[in-house]
Order: sequence, then C-alpha cells, then structure tokens
Amino acid sequence: MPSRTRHSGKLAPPRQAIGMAVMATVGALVSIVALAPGLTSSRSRIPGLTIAPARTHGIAIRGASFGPIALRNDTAQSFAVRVFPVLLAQDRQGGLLARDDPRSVHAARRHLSAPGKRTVLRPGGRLTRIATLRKPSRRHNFYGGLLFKGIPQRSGSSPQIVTIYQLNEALLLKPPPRLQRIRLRSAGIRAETIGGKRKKLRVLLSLANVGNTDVVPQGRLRVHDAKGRLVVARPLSRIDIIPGATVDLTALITKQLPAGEYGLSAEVRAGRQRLRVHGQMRLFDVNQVETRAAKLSEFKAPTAYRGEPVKIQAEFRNTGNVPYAPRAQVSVRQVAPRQGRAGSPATLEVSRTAPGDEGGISGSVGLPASTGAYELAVSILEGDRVLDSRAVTVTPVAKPGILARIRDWITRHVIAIVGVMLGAILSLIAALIYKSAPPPRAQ
Amino acid sequence: MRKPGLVAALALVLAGLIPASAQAADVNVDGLVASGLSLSVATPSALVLFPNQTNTSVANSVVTSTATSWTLSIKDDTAAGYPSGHTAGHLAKLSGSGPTCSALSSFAGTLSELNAPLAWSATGGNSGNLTGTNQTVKTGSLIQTVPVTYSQAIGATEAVAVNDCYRAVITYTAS
Repeated sequence: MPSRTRHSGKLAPPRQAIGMAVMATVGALVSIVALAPGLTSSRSRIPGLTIAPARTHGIAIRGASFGPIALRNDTAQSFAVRVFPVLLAQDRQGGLLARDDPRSVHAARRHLSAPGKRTVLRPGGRLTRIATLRKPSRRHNFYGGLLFKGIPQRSGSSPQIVTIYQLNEALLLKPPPRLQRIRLRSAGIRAETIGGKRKKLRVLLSLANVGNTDVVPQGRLRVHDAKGRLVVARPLSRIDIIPGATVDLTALITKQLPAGEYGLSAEVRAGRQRLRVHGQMRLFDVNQVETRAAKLSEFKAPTAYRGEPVKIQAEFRNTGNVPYAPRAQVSVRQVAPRQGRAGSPATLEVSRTAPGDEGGISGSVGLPASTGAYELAVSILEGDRVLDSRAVTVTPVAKPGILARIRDWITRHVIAIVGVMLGAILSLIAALIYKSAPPPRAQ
Repeated sequence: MRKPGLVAALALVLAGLIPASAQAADVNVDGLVASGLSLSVATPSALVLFPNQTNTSVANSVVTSTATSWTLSIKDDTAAGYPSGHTAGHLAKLSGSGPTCSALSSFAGTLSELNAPLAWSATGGNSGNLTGTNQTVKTGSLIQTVPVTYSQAIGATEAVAVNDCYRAVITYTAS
C-alpha cells in the first residue's frame, strides 16, 4: 500500500533526529492504516464487491504482468467468481465499457491471460489475479481489461430478480514511446441549449482518436460575436480518449448571450498535435440555439411471425426546442442460438413533433429465415450521431390460423365489443319503445 | 569506544522523555488515494404480476470509484440457466409454484415467459428494455447512488396463474 512521509525544517541534531524518526514511524503507520483497506473497519464500507486497482495505465510489452488485481467481497453472501479478459469500448461521454460479448472475449483472450480457476468468494474474502499480456494488438497497444464476474450463491431466499455483479479492471496499455502515434480528428463542433428557466449553452467538440495511443487533450473554447469580439472563453472538459473512440469534449456557457450570430473556435493540444476547429452558432433568443434532440419513450416488443416482416412501432419525445422529426432506423441481430452481427439497418417513418410532445415511429423489417431469437434495435439519429437507442428481443413463432387470430382479436378487444353490443341493444330497445308508444292525441 | 554508545543510549532515553512540542520539526502525513471500484446492488421487492397492469419495483445501486469516471451497464444474463429458446429481457417461469417464490430455484423445463420485456429506468440516467446486450445505465464519477426502477407490463389476455413465479437474471457491469 503506497504511503509517503516527508520531513521538512532545518537540519536536526541527533536527539531530535531520533525523536523525529520515532514520530515519522508513527506517521507512516498512521498513513498505512488509513490506506490499507484490509486493516480498516468493515462497518463503514458499503456492502458490495470491490475491485482494486480499477484502472491501470502502462506500456504494452509482450509478457508484461499487471497486478495483483484483487476482488473483495463485503457482502453477506458468497459468490462464484469467474475472471476473463475483455476489450474496451468508449461512449461519447467518455465512459469506458467492458465488451463481454463472446466475440470480444474470444479476441481479448488472444492478447491477455489471467490464469486461475473459478472460485467461490465467501463473505469478507479476497481473490487476486495477475494479468499477463500475451501480445499487444497490431497497433502495438492493448485497451482491454480483466472482468470479474460474481454469481451469487443461494442463501436461503431466492429473489425474483437475481443480480450478477461484473467489475472490470481496465488496462490502458500504450505502445512503447517510439511507436506511439498521437492523432486526433475533429468530428464537428455544435452547441445545444440546456436548463430550465435560465438557459445555458453546452458546446460539444467531437474528437475521434485515430492514433494508436490514448490521449487526454487539453483545449479551450472561444466564442466571438458577429463583430469578432471575444464574448466567452472556457476550457474544454478533459477526457482520456482511447484509440478508435469518438468522444464529446464539452464547455458550459452560463453567461446570457443575446440573440444573434456567433463564431465558435476551439483549440486543442494533444502531444505535439494542435487542432483548430471552427463553427457557427445562431441564437434565436437568449442562450437559445436551435437544438434538435429527442429521446425514445417507448418501444414495445412486437409479435414476430416466421417468414413475415415485423411491424415496428415506437414513440419518441422531442427534447429540443424546435419542431423536429429525427431520422430513425431499426437493425436486426441474431442473439440465439448464437450471436450474430447486426445487418444493415432499415429506415423507419417518423412524425414531425413539436418541442416537448411525443411523436410516432413506424415501419417494418424482415427477419432472416433461420430459427432463433433476434434483437431489434431502434435508433433515432441526427446526422450520424445516435440520439437514443432502445432494443427488444423477439423469437418468431409460426403464424396461427385465421380462426385463432379472430379469437385472439376478440379476446383482446372483448371490453370494446361488449360495450358496442350493449350500446346497440340499448339503442334498439329505445327505438322500439319510441315506436310502440301511442301517438299524442290531438286536442 | 564506550562514549558514542553511551551518547546514543542517552539520546534514546531523552527522546522518550522530551515532549514533542519541544522538538522543532514538521511531519507531513500524506495520503494517496488507491484506485478502486465498488458495486453494490440492492435486491428489489418482488413485482406483483396481474393481467392488464404494469407493476414497478425500485432497487438502489451504489457505485463507488476513485477514478474520474465510471460506467454502469445492464443486461439480461442469457447464460444463466434459462430454458432453451429464452427471449432475452423477458422474465421466465420457475419450476414449481408459490405461495412464495423464494423456495424455487430452477427455471421450468419447458419455456414459459412473459410477453413484454422487463423495462428499466435509472433516475438521472438512461432507460430501456432489458436485452441480452449491455446498455449504459449511467455514467458518473466518485460515489453515487443510482435508483433503478424495474417495470413489468402484463397484457390483458396474458395467461398468468396465481402462485406462478417468474424470474430474470440481470448482470450489472461497473467499468
């Protein structure tokens, strides 16, 4: 456990030196006790699984070892723990994701090994593994990790929703310095309005890491008015971008800017590379830029019949500030009996919707003839940027006969049918009563 | 030869006797934050299943990290012993029947599952239907509690019998 003790002050005589040594030792012990997780009281801990270290930065050298990586069980139940290597992905906010699908795990095993058997981790127990880099990737790096999967063992009660824990130790291994290539490419700059009454502007600079090493770019955003005067300057957020990922660096503008045309310019530095990105922003009101944003609010699992296209129906909410119809598409991917790749997406129809309102998405997509389960993922996009995505899994079944479908339709609409029939009967009775009543006598 | 040893012994004794305030020295005790990531997920209360109703249940997840950011994702663990033909994201029927489901452990041999997928929604985060692939619940930093609401819709004509028990096996990944 790392600890560091520093002495300061003038050169001390021997007696003081001994006293200082005693105190330094006490100090070092204090710092060790404060840092050592195994020595502190477990009462203050949140009962969960803990992995340490959670992130390791290093150089990708064949045969290099990393660890020990420890998983500690602070819960009251036992877990069957399996450890396997994974590859990493990164979302636009910079979040690192462990890719644990079979294809990625298979690919990760070629690069990383962590010997050890499946183990039962009892309450208060600790499990350690050492990861060894078999070989770096073709780009001389390795961005993956070691995923600890903890499956709870039965402990008397068996809940309706069983939770499996996975904790990932991310290994961010750069190429050796002479092979490192730092290269960022701009994927655009844009602004969006956020906030309630007092609107704010968020400027997003999209950067794609097309080099072979992770970088933390340093950048600054400048906003100029129509006359070229600097009105706002803000630093951009600092995010470690892994190779192959596209991440949005953001700057928040709280200053209330009046309606008008503005120029955006961002300057980013990563290693020796300097990147300048320019864009425009038109405010139609104070801090109000045309923001096209939407979120999917509903996508129900459709009924899928073998050999027939599946009807897709979803709903979205316009979360921007202008009437909007995002682009929508659905992609199909086989998930059982084996995992497949997603096919080319099919375009869906989208209704134009006012800000704050809900709109509809509809269309259909064909499924492959083979049996199995398929994941249907509906995405709404602005340009190439995915605004939101939602998926369901369907297993196509044989289409029932016409009589079965009529029966099913009647069962589903039984309340409406009974209501209509009751209304018709009542109307008929009323009409009969009206007809059978004697005509009013003439005076 | 005896003198240096005597001085050292005397110094040791004096060091123990002289109060600390009389010694002019600063000692800094530094602490270095270790890299760690912790995940804790509470067990939600059981969803009450009834035709033509949507029932919800909330479970708090706590993510503690010393890294600048963490990502919590969710998926249906399709390798968790479901019967063959299981559609990811749908609760599957357990073998046996209630009145409580806690005594039941294995899925029914013949596949029987609910028509609608289990939906989830994280306060201040994302929402979606449970599927077999990882979906980001929330991205955060340091320590945060993420309340996740599960909701299960049952169709008006869905055949769910009293005392039948259904289960989902969900994997949370903290990275």
